[in-house]
Amino acid sequence: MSELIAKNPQFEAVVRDSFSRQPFMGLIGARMSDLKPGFCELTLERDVKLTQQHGFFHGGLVGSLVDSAAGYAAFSLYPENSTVLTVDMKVNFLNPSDGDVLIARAHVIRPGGKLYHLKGEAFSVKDGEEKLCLTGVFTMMCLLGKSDAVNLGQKTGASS
Amino acid sequence: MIDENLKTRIEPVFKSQKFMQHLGAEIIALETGKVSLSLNYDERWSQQNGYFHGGVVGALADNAAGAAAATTMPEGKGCLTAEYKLNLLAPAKGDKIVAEGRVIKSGRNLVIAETDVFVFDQGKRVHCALLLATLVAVS
Repeated sequence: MSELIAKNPQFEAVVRDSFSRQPFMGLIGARMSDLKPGFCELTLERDVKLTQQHGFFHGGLVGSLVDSAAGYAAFSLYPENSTVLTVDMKVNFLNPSDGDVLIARAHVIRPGGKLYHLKGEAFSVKDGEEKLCLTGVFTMMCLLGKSDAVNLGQKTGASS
Repeated sequence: MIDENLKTRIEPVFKSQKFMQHLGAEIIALETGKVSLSLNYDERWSQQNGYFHGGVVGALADNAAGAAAATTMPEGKGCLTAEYKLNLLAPAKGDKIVAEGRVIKSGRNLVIAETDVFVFDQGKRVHCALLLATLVAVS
């Protein structure tokens, strides 16, 4: 993997601030455990509320966590005054996520102008050992001139 | 690197694929879980801008993933692609494309494999496509 360079010297603060403003990531208890230009790692502790019927981390959640890691890995390379949105993702589930901790890692394989291509993986950690449970590819859009801080959903709080 | 033992098993299957023979694709690397295929440019494989056609890039990438998956199968078993997703990262502009397929997981029934495709343009190597596939083991 070639060295990627962040266009925004403040990338770490910008990315971590954005992550802290994602209510969904807060809800599941995900934390950003690593961040470098073009790379992001998110970590999540197991909670029964996050599992499916067999007690594994729910597949949709595993996909979500890697999607978020991929989004922030891309966002770390974006210029100032821009924001990120997922354009597409494709994942393959390789093993059940039956560990106590879930780790999502994503890195940019090709930065572009508008579109950034990434690879992402999820690892389930059990007895200190990491097992690869998901691999996927992601495309992220760089929305130039759009603030990341604007609530584009136009709604805050719980819907009635 | 070419594993000669594997070659005796994989090459006849590859050679029996009329489509790959039609294009003139070649196996340039072969070991357990890893296969690289090479295809030279021909105007007949081009799209409107003179680049390798995306469909040709996908076909070569799929075949590299399939051949890599086949190397992980026991004798007498082969693989069929169930689905793939292709990301075209850059225009495939050049004299040659090389598809490097590798197995991520080989299970009892399913194999997950990915392929990176590089285009060579006057000695410059550009990562132009990425494929992620699911293959089914068949007897």
